[in-house]
Amino acid sequence: MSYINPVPIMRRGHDTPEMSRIYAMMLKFIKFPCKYFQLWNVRPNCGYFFTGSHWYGADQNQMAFITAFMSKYGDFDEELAGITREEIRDMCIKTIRYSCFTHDTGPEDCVRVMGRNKLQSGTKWGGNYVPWPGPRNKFFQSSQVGGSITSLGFAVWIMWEDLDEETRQMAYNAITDYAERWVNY
Amino acid sequence: MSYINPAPIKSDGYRTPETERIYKMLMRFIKFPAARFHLWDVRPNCGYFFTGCHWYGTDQNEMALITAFLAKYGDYDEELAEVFREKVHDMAIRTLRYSCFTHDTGPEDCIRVMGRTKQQAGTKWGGNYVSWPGLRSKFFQSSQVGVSISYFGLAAWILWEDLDEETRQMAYNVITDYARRWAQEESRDGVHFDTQAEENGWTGLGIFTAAAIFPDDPEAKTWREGAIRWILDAATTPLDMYSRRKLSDGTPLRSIIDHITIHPDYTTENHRVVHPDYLNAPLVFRARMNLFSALSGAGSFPGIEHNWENIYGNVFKPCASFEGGAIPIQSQDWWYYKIHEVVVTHTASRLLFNDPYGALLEKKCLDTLEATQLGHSEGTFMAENTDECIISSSYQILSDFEPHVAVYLTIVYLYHMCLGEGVKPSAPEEFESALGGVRNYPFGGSVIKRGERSFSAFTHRNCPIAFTLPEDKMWTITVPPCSAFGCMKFKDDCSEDYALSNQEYIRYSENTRIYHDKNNFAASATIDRGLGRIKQDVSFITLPDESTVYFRRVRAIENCSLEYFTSGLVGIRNEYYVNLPQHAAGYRMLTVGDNPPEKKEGYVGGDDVISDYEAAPYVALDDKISYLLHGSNGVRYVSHHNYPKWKGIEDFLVLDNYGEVNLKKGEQLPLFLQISLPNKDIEYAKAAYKDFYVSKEGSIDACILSDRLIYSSFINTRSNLSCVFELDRERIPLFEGSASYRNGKYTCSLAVEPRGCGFKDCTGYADGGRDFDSVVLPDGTVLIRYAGETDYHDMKEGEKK
Repeated sequence: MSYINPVPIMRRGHDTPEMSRIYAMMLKFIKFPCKYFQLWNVRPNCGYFFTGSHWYGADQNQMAFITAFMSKYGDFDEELAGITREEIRDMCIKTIRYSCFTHDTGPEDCVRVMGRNKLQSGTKWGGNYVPWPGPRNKFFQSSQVGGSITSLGFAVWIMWEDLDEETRQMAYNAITDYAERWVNY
Repeated sequence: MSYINPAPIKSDGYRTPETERIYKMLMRFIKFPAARFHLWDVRPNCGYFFTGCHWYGTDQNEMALITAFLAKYGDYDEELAEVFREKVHDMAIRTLRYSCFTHDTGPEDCIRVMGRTKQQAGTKWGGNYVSWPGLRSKFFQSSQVGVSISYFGLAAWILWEDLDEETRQMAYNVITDYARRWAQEESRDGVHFDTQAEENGWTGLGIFTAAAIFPDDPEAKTWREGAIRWILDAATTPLDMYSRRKLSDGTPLRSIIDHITIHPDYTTENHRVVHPDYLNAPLVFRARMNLFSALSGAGSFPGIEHNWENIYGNVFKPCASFEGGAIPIQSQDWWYYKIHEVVVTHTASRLLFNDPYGALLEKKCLDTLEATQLGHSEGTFMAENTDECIISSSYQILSDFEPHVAVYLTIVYLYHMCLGEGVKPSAPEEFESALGGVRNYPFGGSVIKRGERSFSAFTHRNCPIAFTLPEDKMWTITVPPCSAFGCMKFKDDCSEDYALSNQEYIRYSENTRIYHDKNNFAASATIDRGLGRIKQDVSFITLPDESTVYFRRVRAIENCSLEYFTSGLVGIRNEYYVNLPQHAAGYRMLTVGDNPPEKKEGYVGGDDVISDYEAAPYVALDDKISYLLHGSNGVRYVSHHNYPKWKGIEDFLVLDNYGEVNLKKGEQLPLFLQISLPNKDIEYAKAAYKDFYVSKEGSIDACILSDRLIYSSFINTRSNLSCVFELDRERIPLFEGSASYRNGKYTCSLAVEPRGCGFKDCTGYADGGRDFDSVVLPDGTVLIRYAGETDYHDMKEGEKK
């Protein structure tokens, strides 16, 4: 399946006091996760935040979204952030790719690192793998990936122009896989 | 995949009084479907009953079981049945084969005939084809096939030795297909509006069919575990999720259950209301599931007891109707004479849990079914002309449901055959004594009082209604939507949000208050009418003598025009069953005021006949129930003959009838007050009316009936409230609180809870020939000061009388 290009993001260009406050908070925050970013050498140009294997892929996809946002939006202040914008953009692309490779739709050998979350370490994310027993948990855990998919989707949408063909295809696969699975459930 | 042989059916072959009566009932019934059997030539040796394409294949599979059973069990009497046993056997095999070929697992070209059920005609059955749109319907309709699979499975099991290789293989495929599809699926949650108790129940039953019949199948263990998980989730409350109980095999309950389908008060909702048919689902499907265990010689499956008595004992027994069915406390959208499913629940309670009350209710059901059937020429149970009774105008008639009754009787037979007669029925008096009193269902939204010879209920959610039934309960009075509170139709129809406008169907109320003790309750609520145009305040009080009092006030919030208002609505059952003349004589004698009694005949067909009467102080229906009225705008009786949807013959009595009314903002209708006197005739009502006084003024609505003060406040704070009567009696009853009596004007003051209502019994009498002031303390002490006296004195016991 080849991917389809996303619609352009319609930026309305408002500038409100809330936006400025929030952006300043994000700038102050970003040094914290960046301290915990690590490279992942199973595939080229990949990396992950923290210990790389949180529930539902939420850790990476949230960080992919945050870094995508900070790379592309707002008046980035490198001094306040304590990190360059280019470094953030690089971490963002690496994180999106880590998420794509380790998603159910990625290559079989690409599983998440052995991080702190023992029930998720060494597994793929995306909803196929469900560690908790019982049919109720099957739905609970599989569908909960929706929270994470939306973060990945936002990150990819924001970064689309900067993604290579391989990453675009993988991102398209990850995002649409969830929709196809649940839309007629 | 080749088939596996079933386990042998093991039965101790008990013959009990129940098995004998039921077998006769089934023999009398069989000529009805046999006259509607047709050959099907698409494949050899096939045939079908009725029009061949009912929902979920139930028509054929029920009949396959009934005919298989009659072909193989019992002392068949061809003279009584009027059908040869060999013919019954032949029809059983042909029907089973028709079901096999037309199932999803059968050949593609084998579909059901083009019968009356248009949405099923020309399709396969089995769950793959789903005619209703939407994802919810997909699960609902696909899984519902489990009910049918269990009939089919039982029929095939009974007939197995008589089936050829081809049919055995097909039957194995049909039965196991369902189990494979659902055994490892997740059961569902749902309590409000559309409980999943029913869905989880029938899915467990369908899966268990395969596990019980084919225990040697490699997948049988998975099926059994899956079935038990589904069935227990059909009767699970939120509190069960914390339970540490263990099932009989030691398995922790909590390791199996995981979905909530029952309210903490052991009610649940389906078809938008607390509906007895669907509250029964987790019990009756469990009972049917357990029959497979019994037939295979095993004991009950682990968890059979899970919440059984909580549901059965808390709801079904106290809400039992005269004939053993359950009183639909929030109205009934099917028909009223619908007891065939619950009889299996009673049987299971009797045989599995040694419940003498279950035995009594089983007996009542069998007595009634036997009596009604004996009056019908074709052996049908519910009506004589079942083809004329339209259940759903597009695809269902009562004839479609007659086999339901027969098949459930077959199940009762098989239960007794396996487990014997069981515990003896309790005496009816013992039952009433044990089950009488008040029960409040705060989650379901109803409060009930079961009296020794009556039943009253008030509902404030889902379908708010109030009603009082006499001794034979649903055989005299029915419970249509808006009972007591009335349909209030606005001229503009509130089309902006009709379904929430509380016009012909009340869906919610506000300001609910329920006060109750062990023996009586008093309840009040406000009903919003017409999307905020009108507020109707209602209160309903039960009294120790089993009568009830209903107060109604209506005030306009905006200018509005009503087309009609059927305030004081009462549903009247008016059936004809030749063998039940005491309950269903085919007519009712209505007495309105001092008019002579009028005969109101009950029958299906023709136009409704409407009779209007001037406002009357009392009304009576036979000697079953009478009413005292105050503030009525007129009485109407609707002899109901035209039934687009049949639910038994149900007339309507409107005790406070309004036609067109225009109300200006702030205007009120006069106070209406209705006293229901169950089991009392018109003479009693006339006598009672002489001692019935309604307050003329004051801050509270109240009446004195004989020696009891009944009051209703729609004030939202706790207050000392007063009511003023014009009372010309020799003896003036005294009630808790203070009072004064001046020249025949009697003012009572009492402390009343917010929107409080209730009654006060007389604690003594004052001399009506003298003015007085009195105070009655909560401990019954009466202080009184007659005119001319300076000080109050403590009224002595002798003086009180």
